[in-house]
Amino acid sequence: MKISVTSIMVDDQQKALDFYTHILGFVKKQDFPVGEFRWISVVSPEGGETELSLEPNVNPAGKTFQEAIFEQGIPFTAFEVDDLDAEYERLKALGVAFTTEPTAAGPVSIAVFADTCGNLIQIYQHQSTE
Amino acid sequence: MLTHDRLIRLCNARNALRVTGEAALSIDEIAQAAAMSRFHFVRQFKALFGETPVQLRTKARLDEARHHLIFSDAPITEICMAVGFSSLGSFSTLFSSRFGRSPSQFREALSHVPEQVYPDCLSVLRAAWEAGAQNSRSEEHTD
Repeated sequence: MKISVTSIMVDDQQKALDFYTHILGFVKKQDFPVGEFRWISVVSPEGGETELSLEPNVNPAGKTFQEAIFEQGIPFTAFEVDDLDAEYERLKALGVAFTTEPTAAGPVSIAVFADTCGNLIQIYQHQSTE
Repeated sequence: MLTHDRLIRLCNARNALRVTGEAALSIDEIAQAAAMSRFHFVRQFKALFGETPVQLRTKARLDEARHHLIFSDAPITEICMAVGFSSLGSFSTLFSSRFGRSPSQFREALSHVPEQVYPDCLSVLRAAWEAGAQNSRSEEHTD
């Protein structure tokens, strides 16, 4: 068993595709129309085969959950980075809104930002053990 | 950095922008309720939600119209006015732009698949695969 696709709910698929590719730097893997929506997935240019599907949050049940955890300040998911401070500065310069600046949290350092599509995203870097 | 308090105020503003009809507040009133100047309100709102308050309000109205098209038999003109548009033409154009088909086409398509109002992702993929397979068969027949 493998995790080859995971997903995140977004309030606007085109806006999400723009943010996840142009701002975060992921690469579009799939994009085809399905009725009034699209099946869109992105992958990391740094390797790994897992696709992130950008799913429309049209279902009120999903939207309620998404907005509740957003207002509670809870990240929907997390991505690993090699250099948290550099990534924080890069994203901040692009106008990304952070709710948590780089902070040590046990074995990792974390920061949290809004993806403009209804989610908070955590980025983290493993602390060096040397 | 966006403090949690400010995040909550901006979320409340988003909820206020979704209110349609006579109860809808102006952008200035909503900015004031969020305790921000209009300039900072619009700037921070866009950084958080990826769109301006006016854009979000328009989308909220279109989403509500979509809901009414699904769950009511009200005439399209009535729905257009109820959600806050004054022109049927601009409503239809904006609706088409957001949902890929006009309000009347949307309602017509819905009448064929009422059980698929909120399709899950597997249903969506299966439908796409079946449509693709059907197209392939059509192409084979025309060869």
